[in-house]
Amino acid sequence: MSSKRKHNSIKELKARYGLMFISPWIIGMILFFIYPIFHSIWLSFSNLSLGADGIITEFVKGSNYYKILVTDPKYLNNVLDTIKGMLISVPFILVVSMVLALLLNGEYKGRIFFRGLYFMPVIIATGVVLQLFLKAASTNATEAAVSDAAGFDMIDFNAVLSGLNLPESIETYLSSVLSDIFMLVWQSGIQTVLIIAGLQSIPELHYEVARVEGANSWETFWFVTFPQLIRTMILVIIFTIIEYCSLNTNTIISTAYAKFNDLEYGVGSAMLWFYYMFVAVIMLVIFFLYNKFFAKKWGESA
Amino acid sequence: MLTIIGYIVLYPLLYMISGSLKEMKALLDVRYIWIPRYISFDTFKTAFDYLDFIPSLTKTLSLQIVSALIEIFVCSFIAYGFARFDFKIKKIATAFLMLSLMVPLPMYSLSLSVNFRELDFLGILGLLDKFTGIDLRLNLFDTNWVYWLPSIFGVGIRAGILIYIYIQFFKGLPGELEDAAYVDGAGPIRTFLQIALPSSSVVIVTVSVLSIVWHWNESYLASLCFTNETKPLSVMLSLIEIPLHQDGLWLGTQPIANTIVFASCIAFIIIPLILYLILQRKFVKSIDRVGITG
Repeated sequence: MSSKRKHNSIKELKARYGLMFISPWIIGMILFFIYPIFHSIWLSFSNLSLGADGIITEFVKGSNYYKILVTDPKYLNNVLDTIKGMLISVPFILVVSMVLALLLNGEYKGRIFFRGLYFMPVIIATGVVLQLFLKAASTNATEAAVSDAAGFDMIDFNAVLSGLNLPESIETYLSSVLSDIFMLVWQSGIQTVLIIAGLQSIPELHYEVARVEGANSWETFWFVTFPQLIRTMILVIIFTIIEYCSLNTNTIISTAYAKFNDLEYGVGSAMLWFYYMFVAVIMLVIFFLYNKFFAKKWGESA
Repeated sequence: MLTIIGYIVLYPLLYMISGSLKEMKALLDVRYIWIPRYISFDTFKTAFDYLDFIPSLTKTLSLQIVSALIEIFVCSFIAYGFARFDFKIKKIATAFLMLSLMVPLPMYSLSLSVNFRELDFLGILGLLDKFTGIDLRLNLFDTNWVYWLPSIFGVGIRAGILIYIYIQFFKGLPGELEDAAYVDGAGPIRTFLQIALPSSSVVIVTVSVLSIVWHWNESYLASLCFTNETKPLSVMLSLIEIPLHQDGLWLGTQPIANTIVFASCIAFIIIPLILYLILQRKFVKSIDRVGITG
């Protein structure tokens, strides 16, 4: 009896320790995360102006949303374009980072060098630099000459693609990916880091069993690596989507911030939240698919 | 295969370096694309002027790097609580942690900055002001606290993912040593500081690199919160087109504007890049041992 009570008290003590450790975070979450989010959603339904005695807010119902959706001719198209861009580039980033992670995870000479090289985009491929670079490079007078000299655009990808007789949708997908290849590879840095860390957490034992059972490397990937990596992949997918949303090249975010600079806080917030609705739906679909197909099949064994 | 992709990775960087070193004369000479014929560092001088380099660098260091250092420590503290202890609201707290991963900072940074003008706790201080006339609300706008305060509470820039990486690491850390510390009478904080933290240098390297880089590059919140003259480098760089336009230079159409922008980009990334090259071996090795699962 007494031992049970003591056990309980240790448990309670540990619970109190746990709360103590995360209590600053709880306060921070309320102050600097949950409250600002509600505030910003509320802003999107109101008109805000800076007056002599501080900030004056006035509730205007859905008129900000009406403004951006009906009056603004470009906004809705921009949203659709950005979402389309996201759906094109996120899978590609995932594949690139997956391939890179698998290549860099092997044992070979110069591994440290190559890894150092590939993680470099984490440092340099930052939103601002990327945006300026693209703008400068896209219209550079000498660009054509540069890419010729680099030998990269010498091959006319579009000609090659149309020669392959692929379905049109795949063809347009590939050509849009290829035109952004630098940008997309540059964005795969952190994802590669996360996937390598995930790969390393798979016990070596599982690979040994696969070897003993005579699985080839393709089978090993699909039956050992992939199932155990799927949860890391969910994290990486979410991260990639969020990263895409906060890039400086994202037109929705930049137009919304331009509105903020013009002190149209309500309209800007409405732009952001209407766009985020789509993003949230995409993330929910991903979670739904994961729960339906993967969690049951592999979740328990992993 | 690796070399081809390596080329893709390095191409823009080399392009920028070579672009920034070119002199006007060399720009027009398309025969020499990669290694410019006339090397000149004058562009860097101009770029430094446009960026207001030394003051903004100081600002970046005092604002963002200090905040990153705070965040690196605080996140480990909070993650330790998540990883080692069971408590009642842990499930809800974990759900909110996931939620914080899923809402990007630009979505709510305007509200954050408005909030910083009159820092309040759920309107309580505002009510106090209404009834007693004592205004305890602080105006933190334009001060470094805009970054520091969220970091102190563990909700700074992308703190969610950092906490998440820490949690995964602490979960993999054997707890026997910590139990021994408890038996010997050490409190939880002492156990954390003297046993758990010293054995997590691996994860600290990973988190430090990520946190410093993310802080270095954050420009949305900073652009909203800093309206006075000294702005951090990231904001100066993101606004560089404005002073360029004032001088009649248009990015994309005039080669000289491009070289200035390339030079500024290099000036912007050079410090994190050097830091990375120094830490590179450690960082690369640390990734193997962090172990992130879903």
